[in-house]
Amino acid sequence: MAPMRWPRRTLLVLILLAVWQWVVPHIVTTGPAFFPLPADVADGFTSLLGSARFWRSVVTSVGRVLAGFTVATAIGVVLGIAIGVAPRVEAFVDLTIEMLRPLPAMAWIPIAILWFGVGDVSSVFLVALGAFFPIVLNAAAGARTTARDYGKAALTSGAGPWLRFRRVTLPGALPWVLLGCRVGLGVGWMVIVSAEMVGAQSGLGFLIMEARSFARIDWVVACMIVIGLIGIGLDSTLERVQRRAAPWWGRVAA
Amino acid sequence: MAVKVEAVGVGKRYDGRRPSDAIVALRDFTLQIFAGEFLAIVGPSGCGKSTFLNAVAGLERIDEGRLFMDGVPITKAGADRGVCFQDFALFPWMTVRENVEFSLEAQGRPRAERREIARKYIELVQLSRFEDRYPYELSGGMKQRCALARLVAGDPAVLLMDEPLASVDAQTRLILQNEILRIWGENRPTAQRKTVIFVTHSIDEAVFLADRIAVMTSRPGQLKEIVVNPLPRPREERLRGEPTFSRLTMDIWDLIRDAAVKAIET
Repeated sequence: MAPMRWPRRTLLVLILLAVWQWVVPHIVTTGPAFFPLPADVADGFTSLLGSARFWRSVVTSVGRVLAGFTVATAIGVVLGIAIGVAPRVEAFVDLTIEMLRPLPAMAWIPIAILWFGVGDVSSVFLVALGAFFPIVLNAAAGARTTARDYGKAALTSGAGPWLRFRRVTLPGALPWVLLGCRVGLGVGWMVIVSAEMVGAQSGLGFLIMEARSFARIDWVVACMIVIGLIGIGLDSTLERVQRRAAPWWGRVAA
Repeated sequence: MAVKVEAVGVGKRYDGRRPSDAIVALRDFTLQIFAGEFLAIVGPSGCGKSTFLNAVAGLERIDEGRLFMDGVPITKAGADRGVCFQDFALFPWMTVRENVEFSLEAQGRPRAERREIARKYIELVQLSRFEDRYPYELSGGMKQRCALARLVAGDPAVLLMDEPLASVDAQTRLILQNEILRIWGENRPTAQRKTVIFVTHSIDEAVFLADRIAVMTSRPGQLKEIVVNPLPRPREERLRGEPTFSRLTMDIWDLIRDAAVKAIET
C-alpha cells in the first residue's frame, strides 16, 4: 500500500457519510430506529465509549483473537515450513488440509460449543481454526519457493542442512510467513464477531446481539465501525512488522 | 597438464508427461577440462550447455556416462565447485558482506577470519562502499560483482559460470569480462589459476576470455569441436580489434550458425 495519505483516503468515507445523513432520509422514511443516521450513530458512539461494558468487550474480543492467532501461528508456521521443505510431510498432510480448508470456521460453531461450551475456549478455537489455513499455506509456499530459488546457491556454497535451514530457508520464508499471519489475523478477526454472536456471553459480537435485542440499532452500527477500525489497526501493525523484517520483499529479484 | 574435470559419454534425458515429450539434452558428451584452464562452452540455444554445467556442479544427475573431478565421480554438490548463476541468486535477506561470507560460514570459519576474507574479495570487486547494502539496493552490474565475490570467497577449485553476464548491459559486460579475468588470476602462472567452465551465448565473449572454446551441436548436445584460442595472455582490450580476434569469432560462428538458425525456427 502507498504511504498513508489521510485526506485522500478519507474522502470517500466522508462523502458516503454526507449522503447517508442528508440524502438517504428523503428516500428511506422508516425513521432512526430502523435506519440510524450518522448523527444518531455518533451519539450512540459517545455513550458507548463512556461505558465500561464496551471497553471490556473490546478487550475480551481482541484477547480471544490474539490467543487464537497465537495458537494458529505456532502450529501453522511449524507445519507449513515442514510441508515446504519435506515432500514426505506434504504428502502426509496435504489431503487432510485441502479437505478441511474450504469449511468456513462458522460451520464449526455447533461442534465448538458441544466440545468447549459457550465462552472463551470456543471462540479461541474458532479463531485459531480460521487463522490456521492462510498461515500454514503461506509458510509452505514460502519455504518451497525459497528452496526453488536459492537452494542451489546454498548447496554449491557447501552449506550443510542446518545452515541452509537457518540462513536460507527461514529468512527466505519469513516474508511469506508474515503475509500468512496478516491474512490469518484478518480472518480471525472476522471469525470472532460471528463466534461471539452465537457461542459466547461476552465480547463485541455478543454486544452487537445484545444491542439489537434492546433495539439500540445505533449501538449495533457503532460496534460494527469499531470492529472495522480495530481490524485496520491489527492489519497495519503486522504490515509494518513485515516491512521492517523483510525490506527486500517484493523488490526486484536479486 | 592435469585433467581437472572429465566427462565421458555423458547423457541426460528429461522425461516429459508422455514418452514423446522426452527431451535428450546431452548425448555421448565427452570433454576434458584441464587444471587451471579457462574453458568456454558455446552452442545454439537449448543445446544442453547449462545442463552440463549443472551436472558438473552436482545439481543434476546424469543418465549415462561418467563425470569425474580429480578422477573421483561427481555425485553431489560441493564447495569445491562454486557456481555463478545466470540470475545471480544472491540471498536478498543478506547484505553484500553476508552474501560473500556465506561459503566461509559453511566452512565453519570463525567470524573474524570470515570478515577479513570477505573484505578482501569485496575490495577486489570494488564494492567496499556497498558492503552493508542489500542486493535490491544494487545495480545489475554491482549484483554481478557481488556474485563473483561470493563465488571466489570460498576458494573453490573449479568455477562454474552459467552465462553470468547475460543480464547486464553491453558496456558493463565488457568491463566485467576484464574483471572476471582479473578475479580468475590471469596474471598468475597457470598452476595457480583456478579451473573455469564458462557457459555463454556470446562468441566474442568466449574468444576474449577463454583458453579453449568447446563448441556444441544443437540438441541433443554433443561436442562439435574444440577451438584452441591463440590469443596471448594477459588479454588486453586492444585484442578485440585484432584480425585474429574477428577471424576466430567468425570461425566459431560458422560452426554454430546452421544449428542456431534451426534452434530459432523450431
